[in-house]
Amino acid sequence: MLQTLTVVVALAGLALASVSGAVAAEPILIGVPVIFTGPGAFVGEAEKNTLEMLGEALNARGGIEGRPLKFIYYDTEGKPDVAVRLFKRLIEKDKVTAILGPTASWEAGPVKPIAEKEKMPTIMLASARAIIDPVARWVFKTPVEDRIVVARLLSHIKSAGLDQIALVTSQDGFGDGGRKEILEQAPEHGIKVVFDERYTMEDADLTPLLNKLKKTEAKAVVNWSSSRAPIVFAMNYKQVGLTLPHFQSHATLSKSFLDATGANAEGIMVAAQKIEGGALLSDADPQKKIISDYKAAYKAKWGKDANQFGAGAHDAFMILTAALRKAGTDPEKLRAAIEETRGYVGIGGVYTYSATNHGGLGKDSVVMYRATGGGWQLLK
Amino acid sequence: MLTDILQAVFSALTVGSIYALVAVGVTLVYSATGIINFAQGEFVMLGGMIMVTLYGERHWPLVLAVPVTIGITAAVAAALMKVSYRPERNVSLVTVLIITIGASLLVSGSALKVWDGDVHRFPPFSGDAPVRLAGATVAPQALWVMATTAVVGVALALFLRFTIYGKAMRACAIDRGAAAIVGIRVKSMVLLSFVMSGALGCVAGIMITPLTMVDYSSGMLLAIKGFAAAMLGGMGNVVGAVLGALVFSFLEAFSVTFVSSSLKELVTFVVIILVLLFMPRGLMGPRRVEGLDEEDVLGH
Repeated sequence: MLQTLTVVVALAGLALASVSGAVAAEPILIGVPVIFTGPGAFVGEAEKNTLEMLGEALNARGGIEGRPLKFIYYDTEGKPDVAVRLFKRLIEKDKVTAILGPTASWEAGPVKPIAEKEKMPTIMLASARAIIDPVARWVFKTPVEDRIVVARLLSHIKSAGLDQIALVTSQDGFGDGGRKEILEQAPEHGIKVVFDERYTMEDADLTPLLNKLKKTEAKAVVNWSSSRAPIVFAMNYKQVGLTLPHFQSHATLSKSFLDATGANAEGIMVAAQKIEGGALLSDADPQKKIISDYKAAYKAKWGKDANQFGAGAHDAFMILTAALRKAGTDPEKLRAAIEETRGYVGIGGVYTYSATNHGGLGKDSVVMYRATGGGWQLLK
Repeated sequence: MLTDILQAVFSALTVGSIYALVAVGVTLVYSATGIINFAQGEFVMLGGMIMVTLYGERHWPLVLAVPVTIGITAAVAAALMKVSYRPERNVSLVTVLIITIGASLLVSGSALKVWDGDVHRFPPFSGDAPVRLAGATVAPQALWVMATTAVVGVALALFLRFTIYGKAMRACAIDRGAAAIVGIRVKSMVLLSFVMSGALGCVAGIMITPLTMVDYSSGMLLAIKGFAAAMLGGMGNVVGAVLGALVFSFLEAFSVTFVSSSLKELVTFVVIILVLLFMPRGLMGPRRVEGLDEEDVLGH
């Protein structure tokens, strides 16, 4: 008896809900396979927080043509095999309309052919150049790739008259990527790499290496590594008395790097996206408003500072929802609408996709920073 | 040239002392229990992390921050002993090994929750200005690390050799049953060794964090080098652990200086493998068989 009653009540509720129209419209499902556990957990957290924040606001305004957005989050654990499995699950079982993710470049590679085969509109939140080169019809991305950051860095170095550099990179995926780009692009910029050494993340002391570097003809030093490595590097750099202009990768562009490195960070220069700069950008910069708005909203909602990973999710959300509004949920039309994105002013830069460019960003999305007095200052 | 060699020596002494502090902790637990504690690196990480909070952020005075940090870490070590050491259950050493690996993951995972994923550091005890000698440099904190290693190494060697507790600990390692028969409280000795190694790891963390930074995952990185050093020196021998660590770090620093940084690991491990091939029990390991026996591995 009780059971029957429950069913009746449930049915009545259902009927009521469908009468109230817009609220009960079928949601548009968006798959989000990102990293929620392990060392990259903070990345997935920033992405989810951003999407939740934007999705809530959009749904409160009535969603897209009355249909709310619903995100399905999966934890890829930073593992390519898990990412592939979940990506397939989103397509086959959950039947999502589009996918935002995955986050890590090593997950993006194996997932790319699946998106292509299943004709799934996908905007990846990873930065590797391989995602968009060669172009896959169904795959886009928002984060800036190393190639663009390195191009900006090298043109800055060259314009400062530093035509011989020493390159020191870490023996891991991040160091490999930067090293490859720098060695490839240096000749185009008229820069000679006179010293090319590698080290590992767990090295506790780099003074012998830096002592060797001191004797070369280098006029500037570029270090490409992440996590603790650049901090040790910067401390040993001062310790052995190196005074050459010192460039680091965008991985160091954070407050925690400066806090840990202290006075040893003074003068370090970095090429990176604009989000860290935020308030420092000139008022003429078209991105200034969206960057400050996003950072303020994120901080207000989550009580934490926004980062570049959340920013990538923000831009992907905006591009996707604009395309959904324009083209609806038909995969082919949606894909074409994403590709037609022109001059979208986002946090990562100004995006213009085309049939041959699914990255959308140019060198103007990257600016130069200099560590000064415990903070990052923009270089003109 | 002289500068190069001197810089390599300084670097090797710095790094070697760091490895040695980890290796000594590993070897101490092994001395008393025959267990290879893979969670040793986590004690180092905890020491660094707790100091970051107490000394770096809350600005407690050193005389207060250091004992509290050591106390907390030693308590964690004692808890680890309670879960991993079960002689009455007759658990094989391999099982215990796996338990310590699991404990290591548990501790680092918890640290990620308690703190965060960022890399931290607190200021060195005697400033940042390097000490210079004939063109080579050494960080003042490195001198602290070297001094600590020397003191700890000597004190421990003396403790194990000459005190009644030290002798009892070694007796437990050789044969737990026999040790119990002659009236040694095996369980207390094992607890003592875990607490001491926890405190040691913690001291290592406190000393090296200004040089190497600390984050929730740094324990494993350090532990690997520490194990290699302890193996090279001869498991269970404190002086051997220090020696192994120094051989290790000298190989690294000199291959960076005279070969190439990217070939450093290759050179170092080729030498280590050769040493272990010809001296399977390490440079200063015991000649008689102890520790991992066939029957221990297969579980009686």
